[in-house]
Amino acid sequence: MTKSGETLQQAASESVKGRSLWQDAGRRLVKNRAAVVSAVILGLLVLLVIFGPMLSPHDYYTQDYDAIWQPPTLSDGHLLGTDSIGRDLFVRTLAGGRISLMIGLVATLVSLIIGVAYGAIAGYFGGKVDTVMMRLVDILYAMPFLFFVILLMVFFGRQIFLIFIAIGAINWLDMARIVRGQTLSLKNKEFVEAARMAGASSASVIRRHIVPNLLGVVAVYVTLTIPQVILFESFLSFLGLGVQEPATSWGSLVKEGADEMSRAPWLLVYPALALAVTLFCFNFIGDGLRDALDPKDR
Amino acid sequence: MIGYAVRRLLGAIPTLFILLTLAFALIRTAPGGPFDLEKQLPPEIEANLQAKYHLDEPLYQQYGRYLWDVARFDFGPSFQYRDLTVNQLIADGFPVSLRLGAFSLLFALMFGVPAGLMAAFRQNRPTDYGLMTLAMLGISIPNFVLAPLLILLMAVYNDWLPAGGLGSPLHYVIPVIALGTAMMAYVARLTRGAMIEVLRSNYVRTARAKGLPTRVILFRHALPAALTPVVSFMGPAAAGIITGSVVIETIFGIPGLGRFFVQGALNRDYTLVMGVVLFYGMLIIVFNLLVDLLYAWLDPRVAYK
Repeated sequence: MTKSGETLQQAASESVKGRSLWQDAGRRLVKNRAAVVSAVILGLLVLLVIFGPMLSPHDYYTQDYDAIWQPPTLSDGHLLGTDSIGRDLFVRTLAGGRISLMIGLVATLVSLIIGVAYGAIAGYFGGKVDTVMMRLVDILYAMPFLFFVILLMVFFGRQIFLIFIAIGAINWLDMARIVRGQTLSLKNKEFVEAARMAGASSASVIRRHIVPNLLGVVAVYVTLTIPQVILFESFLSFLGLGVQEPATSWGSLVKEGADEMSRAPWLLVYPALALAVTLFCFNFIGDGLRDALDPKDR
Repeated sequence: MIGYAVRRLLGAIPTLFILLTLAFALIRTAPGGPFDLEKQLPPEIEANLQAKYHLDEPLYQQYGRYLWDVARFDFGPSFQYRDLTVNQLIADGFPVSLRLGAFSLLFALMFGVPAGLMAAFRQNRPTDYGLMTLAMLGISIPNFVLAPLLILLMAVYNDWLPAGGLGSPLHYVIPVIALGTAMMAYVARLTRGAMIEVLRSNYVRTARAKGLPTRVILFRHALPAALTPVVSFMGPAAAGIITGSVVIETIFGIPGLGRFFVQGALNRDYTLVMGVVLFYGMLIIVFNLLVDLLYAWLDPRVAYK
């Protein structure tokens, strides 16, 4: 469970085989049927999003003038039909999924790095450093960021790069708070004291002892942040402020579908389904992971 | 308690100040202006417009002027709706948004709390799993996906409800469901978790031991304690409603503040955008304060001095 715990366990494992926190959590997670099913579905979806477009004879931007407004069919390879200018919805949904999932992962990573570093530093040093750093977080919390992001997108153009920054910049706040709280309780533990007494510098104590012990909480939070980020990107794309044509994301596809829904409901239904299933799976996995790591309420 | 409230409101002033400054800086550094029209205006007219809205002054002077106006709750004239001030636009749009938000909140509580209680009473049984899976579904379907799907189902395929606008009470049904569902799901999950914890607590066991009827235990002793997390969720929920109403109002063509904001941003209506951002900032601060006060009233262990 901890660095020092591991060495203790190594010593103990010769007589009794110990179980780490992670093995314990792993067992509980595997027993959670909803989480396992979600993980399998999500895994399949990711594979489909990566390799699916190669299996289809169509690509996401070519217009097939012989098949405009075509409902889903098996006959000519337009599995989920086509849109108003004859683009294949199946491939577009997968291409949109690539962008949505990529934004979800990258923006979460950005907020993860900033949040963990910020929170660990504030919590570890405490005192004035902590007060100033957390006061800044409090102020940023009160900002209606959605509005800033909308303004950013309107005024500075709709670049994917900006979306990453904007979303990452919002999400690190929660991460920093959670990490700081954990760090505060960790830093007075004996193994941290021991490391400090052995002459380890602050940087190496944070890196080698504090951060590894935060992984559980952070893992839960990351799985719950990814769907939030995907949702947020879709929201921006839905308002027409996210990914731009001919590239697409699930949000833009839902928007296109919503505009044409009385004429071509499949354009709305399939992208909406892909988005909802993905969010559903991520949320279930995150929930399962939390219950597995912190089983007190089960 | 009044002292606490006053101090909280005073403490919000620096936050609002930073908010104003950030928004001002962002808007003014952006390329493009409110009078960039398709056809070029004659220079003298443009100069007149600039002068009228004080855009010809140096930036710091404009900033100072704006700050002074806002301090007196005057958000200035709208650039796009020439005859109206931002205050008038907010006064027009806010009641609409407020009504939509309040109905959604009510909807979420009315269905979320009973669902959470039911799941807690039947913990780890099919009812519980069913309700919690539904709740997860509610959290996972974004409002901008739910809204068009509901329109498709209830207004396009069946002629049950009107799809857009705000003519009658019936017009509110789909937007309220779309906006309130995710919140309802959160409320259900929170209520369930808190109720499970409360039902295991010592004072509930005591109540049971002295032979109180189950109905009294549940509704008089357990329920108020189980609702405190729901109350503190109302703060983030209000922020969520505001965010959500931007997209819901756009989809349904509802003339509320959220739609004003999006249009204002697209039209570079500087004052309107700033006004709405600041107004929402103040709204969230006041609402969070009310939630905290309500929380202290419900939970006597919490005392604000």
